[in-house]
Amino acid sequence: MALQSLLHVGLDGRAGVAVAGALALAALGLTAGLAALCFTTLAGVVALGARRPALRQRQIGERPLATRAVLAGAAAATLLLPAAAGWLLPTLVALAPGPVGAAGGARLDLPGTGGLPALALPIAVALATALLVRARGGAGRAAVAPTWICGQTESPALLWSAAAFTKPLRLVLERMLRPVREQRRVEGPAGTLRVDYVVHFPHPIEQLYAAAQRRALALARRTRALQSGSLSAYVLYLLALVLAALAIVRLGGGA
Amino acid sequence: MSAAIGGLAQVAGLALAPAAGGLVQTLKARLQGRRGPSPLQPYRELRRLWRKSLVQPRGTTVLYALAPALAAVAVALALAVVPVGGRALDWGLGHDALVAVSLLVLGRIALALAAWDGGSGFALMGAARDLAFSIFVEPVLLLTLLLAALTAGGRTDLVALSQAATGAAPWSHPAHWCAAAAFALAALAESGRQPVDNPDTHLELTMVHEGPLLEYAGRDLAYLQWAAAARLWLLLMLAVDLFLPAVRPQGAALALAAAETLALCGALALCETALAKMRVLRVPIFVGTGGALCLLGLASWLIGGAR
Repeated sequence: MALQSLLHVGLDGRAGVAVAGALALAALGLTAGLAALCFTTLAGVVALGARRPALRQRQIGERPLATRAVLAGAAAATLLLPAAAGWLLPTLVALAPGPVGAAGGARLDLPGTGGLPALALPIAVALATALLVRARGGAGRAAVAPTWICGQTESPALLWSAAAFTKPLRLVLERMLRPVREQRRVEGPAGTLRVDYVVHFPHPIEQLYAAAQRRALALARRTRALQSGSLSAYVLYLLALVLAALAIVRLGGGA
Repeated sequence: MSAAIGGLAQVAGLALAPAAGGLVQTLKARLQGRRGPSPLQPYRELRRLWRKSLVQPRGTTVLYALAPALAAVAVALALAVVPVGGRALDWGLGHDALVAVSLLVLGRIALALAAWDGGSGFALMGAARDLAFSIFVEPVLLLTLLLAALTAGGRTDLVALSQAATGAAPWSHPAHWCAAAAFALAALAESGRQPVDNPDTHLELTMVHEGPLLEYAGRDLAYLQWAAAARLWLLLMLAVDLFLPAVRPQGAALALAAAETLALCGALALCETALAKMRVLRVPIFVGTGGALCLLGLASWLIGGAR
């Protein structure tokens, strides 16, 4: 419904409103895609990938029940809220000022749309999926085999993490995110103990702020160099200031 | 009556979808100087897979078994939403364009979760790339819908959009041309065809859409291969409905839609012959060009007086 609303804003005859609506629509589409990636990554790391034997060996397979419950709750809300939209919308519309109404029910037939099958869609998906799963045959027919990993043994080093799953996106956005990579060498009495590789993504706003801070500090250094602690230099500055003020007053009075 | 015939055409689409992919493969082979497989080869593949046994990787959950069926159902229901030749039967799901787009996303998420469940690095690599591309494809698809809705009085009803595309009026405005070009770019990425992905290759490091399919066999793989073919069919139908010339009489509209589908298959074969698969990191730029075209189309519409 948010996408529908923004789509209609994009169709506004006024140029500014239409362009803002189109940009907002694209941004919401982008956000939806990001949300899908984030949900898949989270579900994979917390609920699915965590079940792998090698992860359990590394003792990170056990996720707290609260973490899994939050994930399951978010997934359930994603499914249930759209299904109940037909009943929720009239209540929400009634809160708006003025005599505005909207017909609710199992299906939303809002003006300008092709009909939003709020309840029919999840039911159709569930029934048709059950039918295809039945046609597929039970798990008893399936040959159990190890996951194909090119003949290597399953080890924690080969397992996928959230960082690995989102790597394509990070590589695509690298020019915008500008990751900072550091190499930290930890020295011991007998030589290098270990080398740590650290990557972090400074926020773009922080990058702007950092540039302004750098320039302000450079200006402060130059100012400090001018104010060298010499009394005669301060007297000269004051004299120059008085002369400049007199010149401004003189020029202002002449005008 | 016309809706019933449209409904029949929609059901026929479920059966004809593999033939479209097969036709592209045949035409591509001919263009490359090879004899190539028959257009009916996908049906033989599906029959072969239907008789083969299933494979269940050790340690997977029920999600792994559900994902192929869910992916196939999502595309099948999306096909029920999209009209053929401007007509469609109301199957109780409406005809809203956003519903069709969201069903495509559902299939993608199901496969990505199944990749996590299986734990294969190649499946996860493909799923990660697919989801990363979808972040850029979805805004472009939405913007093309916005431009298509301009001529239909702001409606997202696919039947209304399709009927608004009849006649010469939509072609008189640059916004329609921009939307058509942008949709072509987004559809290539969405269907996993060249230059975005090469459906013929199973080279692990370059796979995108084929990656999550690696662990599957038997009927599961048959569902997934049909879903990939149906996804291509769905995008062809959307292109025919929204961005190609259409006529009012139903018989002529269906005949024209069939001819346009064949022409689009030919164009796809030509495109796949002429263009090599591009680097993964270039795909967002490729798709982003579609977004820029959409904004250009919107600007031209506004300059033209927002008729």
